[in-house]
Amino acid sequence: MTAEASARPAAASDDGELFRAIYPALHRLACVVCPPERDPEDLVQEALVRTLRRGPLIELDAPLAYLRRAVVNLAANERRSLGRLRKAAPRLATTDEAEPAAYPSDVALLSALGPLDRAAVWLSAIEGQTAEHIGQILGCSPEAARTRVSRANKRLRTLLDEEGADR
Amino acid sequence: MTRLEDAFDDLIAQHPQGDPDAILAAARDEVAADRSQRRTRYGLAAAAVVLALAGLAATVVATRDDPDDHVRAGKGPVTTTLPPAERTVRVAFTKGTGAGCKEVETVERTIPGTGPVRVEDRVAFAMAALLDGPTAAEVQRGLTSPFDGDGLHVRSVERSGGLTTIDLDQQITSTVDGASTGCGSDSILAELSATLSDIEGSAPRRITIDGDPDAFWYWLGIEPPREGPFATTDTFAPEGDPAGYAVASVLGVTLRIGPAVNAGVGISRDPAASAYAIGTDLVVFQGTEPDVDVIVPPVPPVPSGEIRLWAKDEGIETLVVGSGADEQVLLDAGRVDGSAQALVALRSGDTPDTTRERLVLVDLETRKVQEVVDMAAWESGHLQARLLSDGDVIGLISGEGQTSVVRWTSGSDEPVWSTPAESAGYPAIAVRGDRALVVDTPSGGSGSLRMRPLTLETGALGEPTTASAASGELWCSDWYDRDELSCARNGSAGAIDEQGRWRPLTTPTGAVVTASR
Repeated sequence: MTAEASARPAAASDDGELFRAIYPALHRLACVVCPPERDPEDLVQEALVRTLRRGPLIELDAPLAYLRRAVVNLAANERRSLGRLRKAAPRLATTDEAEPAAYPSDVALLSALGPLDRAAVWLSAIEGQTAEHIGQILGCSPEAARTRVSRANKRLRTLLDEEGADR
Repeated sequence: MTRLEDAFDDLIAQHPQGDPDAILAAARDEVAADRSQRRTRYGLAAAAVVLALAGLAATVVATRDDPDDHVRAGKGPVTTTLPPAERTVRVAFTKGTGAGCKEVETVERTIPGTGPVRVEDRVAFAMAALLDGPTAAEVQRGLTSPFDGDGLHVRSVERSGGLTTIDLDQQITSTVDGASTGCGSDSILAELSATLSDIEGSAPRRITIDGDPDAFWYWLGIEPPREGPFATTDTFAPEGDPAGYAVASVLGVTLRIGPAVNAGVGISRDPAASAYAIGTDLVVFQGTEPDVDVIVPPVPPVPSGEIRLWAKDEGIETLVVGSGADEQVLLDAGRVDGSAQALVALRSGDTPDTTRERLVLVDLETRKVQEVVDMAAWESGHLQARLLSDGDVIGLISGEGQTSVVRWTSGSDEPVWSTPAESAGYPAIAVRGDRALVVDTPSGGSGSLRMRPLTLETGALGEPTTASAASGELWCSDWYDRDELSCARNGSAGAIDEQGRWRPLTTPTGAVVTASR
């Protein structure tokens, strides 16, 4: 397990102190995996709610890793729900579909990946995490994490190639 | 700073950090509110009771005979638009402890707004209210429900030919506890029946999950009240034999035999990424580690762990393929010169410079391992491979920024031919006899399905056939029968023909269905 995975301020005596310490890393990952229609803070708060239902943060062995995994899981579920919502909306005619934000092109490339793939790329390429740790966050084996990283990188490269071809 | 880092920085910069103390306080408030409203959770019996098919069908289409039923029959000509007064729906929830699982009580909900509402809008609203579950006040006075609104959605409500089809979101199968228990399914059917009957009387209705009409019954642990969609007359089975299909999913491995939905053999309950049947007597399969809490498993699933072999009358054993490999991936199985073989990729090494991949054939009777090729693994090695009857292998390889289709023959480290797949989305290959296709699937959940014929002798790709692939993320793994491909769309398995027509198959979520070799 990496240092960050087990990050817990040694002196943290309550959830407030602990959460303040781990919040920046949690927020960054939430931004990475969050669907464009949603606010990453909502993901963070929902992950926190689900975690607190089980007990205080300070009782967790690896609170940051736990919360990050919860955020990733929520993002993956959100994406699927939103996808279905978009398809159902015209027929139900009862939902307001938010217009996805118009992002600069490179951000749009990242947005073309699924949240798990974005998380895999972020954790491997930016944070430099091991396959073991990535698997811990994504909820899969190191081998599966490595495969996901590889596929996501390939997908990104394909998108970059397409973008280059379009220019 | 790299372009990738810049992109991530831009992404993160769009969402400034909030106040962690405020977020924590809000989360604590929500948890506290949840606890105060905690409902009587379902104590559903563990024993599953498979209920009589006809009785269940009757339950769903039953007319309510409640004396205060809100019947609109005889109110004049039938129209699909109702007057503004019809904005109240009655939603049925189960009576609490002490009452039978089928005993329900209705509560009223009002559709907001003032304009006219269509019947299907009323149904959609009532279904949404049902999935939300009873309010805290209703719970306090004894009502309960398997539904508690936790992320449950109605995907669509459609009326056609007098039939109302209500499509539920797949998430319901993992969020609602105890649906397949006797009391759970009784309660769900009773609530649905009473709620919908209140709007449409005894009009026929169909409830689907992600478009699959059988999935709803499958979820309840009940045999669907009709013949399944597996009937097909042009399968790969030898004449006179029933067709076989290996089904791999997070629920395990089954071998379906013949057209009936539930005719077959349960092979394993361990989550599986792939399974290949040879005839109907041998199945070789490999496990997967499903994403926890992710409703729709990734398709294609990620293989993990040991490869196992099931043989009729002999049970399951682990297939020991080779030592020293970091990872092994089951790619295919079939008969080569009459003997049953599994095609396995053995990968070792950790970096692009050191990673190698060996393709081997494993004789499923003698366990003899024969190497097909030993290659420096490109980025992902083989994404997919199909075993030909002469022992050659058609592989789909991802590496160095491109995906290629290659043909390997034993004893040569150079491919017989290699053809760039030039694919935008995840490509796949479907190979059966001399029928071979490279299938490009829509990326990002939209677009069309492109099928290019592949000449096995030369690797030449023919003119593409393009079909509208409908909506959803689609991945096709192989031929399903002689006219259709076996695919997964939004986690549901189905067969799709060259016109892009989708035919759902009755399988668990995220299943990959492979026709017997």
